[in-house]
Amino acid sequence: MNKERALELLAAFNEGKLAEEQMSELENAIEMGLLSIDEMPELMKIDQQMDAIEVPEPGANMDQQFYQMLGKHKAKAGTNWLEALDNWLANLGLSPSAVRLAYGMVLLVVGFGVGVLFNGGSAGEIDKLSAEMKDMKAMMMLTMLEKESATERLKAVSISNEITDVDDQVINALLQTLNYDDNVNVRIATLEALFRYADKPAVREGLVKAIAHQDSPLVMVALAEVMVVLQEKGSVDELQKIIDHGHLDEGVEEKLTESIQKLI
Amino acid sequence: MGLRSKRRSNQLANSKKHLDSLSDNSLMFQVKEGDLDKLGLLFERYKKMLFAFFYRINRDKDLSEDLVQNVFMRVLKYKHAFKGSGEFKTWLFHIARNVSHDHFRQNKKLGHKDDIMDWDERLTAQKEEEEVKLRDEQLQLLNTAIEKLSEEKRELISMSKLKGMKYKEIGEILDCSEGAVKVKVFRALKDLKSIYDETKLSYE
Repeated sequence: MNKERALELLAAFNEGKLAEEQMSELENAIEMGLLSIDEMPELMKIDQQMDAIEVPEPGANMDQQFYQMLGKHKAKAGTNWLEALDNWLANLGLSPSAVRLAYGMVLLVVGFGVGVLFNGGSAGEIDKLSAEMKDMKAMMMLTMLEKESATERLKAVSISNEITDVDDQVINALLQTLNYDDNVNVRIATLEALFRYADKPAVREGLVKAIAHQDSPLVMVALAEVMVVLQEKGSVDELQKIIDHGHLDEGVEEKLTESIQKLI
Repeated sequence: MGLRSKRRSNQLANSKKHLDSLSDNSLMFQVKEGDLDKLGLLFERYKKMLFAFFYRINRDKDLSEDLVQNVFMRVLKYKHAFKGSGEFKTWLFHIARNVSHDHFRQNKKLGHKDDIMDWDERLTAQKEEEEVKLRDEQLQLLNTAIEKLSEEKRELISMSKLKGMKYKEIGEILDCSEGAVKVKVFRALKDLKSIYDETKLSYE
């Protein structure tokens, strides 16, 4: 089929005069890319009318149900916690001093646990044990974030991924790292870690503020990407300021502009 | 290449690498390896799109929210089956279509008569609600016409209306060529137009 024939079919269709037996020929022209639905005003009209049908926003219930479901799955996955702890320590590849610190803390917590068991542990005490475990991870993370070696700091950030229900202290430490750590890789890993807690207003606010602190194109672009994913419209001004400031690599500027377009 | 521009191009390459680390596929692989928290990120990325997909098919907010939840339950259940050979979005919408079909099938099992009664009751309720909401008479007619379309065509139109969903991607989800998707959309719109005109006539 040629374009001329396709246009004849199109004209007949638009006038409502296309015979039923020619319909497959018209469809063939559409499939081949010779014709487009955009050229059919009656169909375009109904297509555009559909755009006026409002789709509501999903309710907060949906988020709540999802995170509850996820929590249940995580709890199920984490029942064999001793094995998980063993794997966790083995996989971290910590320095000898950090391993000693970790085992020391594990021993303390296990000691506490044994005490609880021998004294007939109640649900409250078991909760306390879980809280101790969480505190232990948080403490290790905060200690390791202070290390000089970037590798150790990266491991610290990775430990933060293990902590469920982070507190303000951990979040502040991560935001400080995102803003002031010398190492770009550490900052990127921190951004990814913070992304997990983006449902917390303090984290979202911290991420928006962090845009102004960045001098690395890598972090700028990654932050812009995160802003788009979170649909954080409050970041548009901060991103625009960076662009207006100039001195950006062309590719980075393009990426930031693209992010703004997706946000507005 | 100068040292400065070489450094810049390295930075951009690294930047891309880091962005990739946040890509859907890499997040799903992390979920597959047991890092279930990463599913939260995927949920945040796709919840609205999936919700809109279901809502355009069933016009029921609560039901659409439940179906989104079902999709992510299946993602968790079948995480081992994610191979990453295609886009995560395609895989996710395969699951979404299955969830939608299963729901449709289960409703049918309740009995055709009951089903129609439910549907009529819902339509009446929705019509009343829509009459308040929608000032535009044409929009009400269009809604009624969409309800009368086949499930397959409603699903296709819903997908074609999703922001960020290209014909090529729909083709991957439906396992057909981009050209075939265009023909399917053409047929669906043509049917919709004809139902719309008939409905309009019956109201006049």
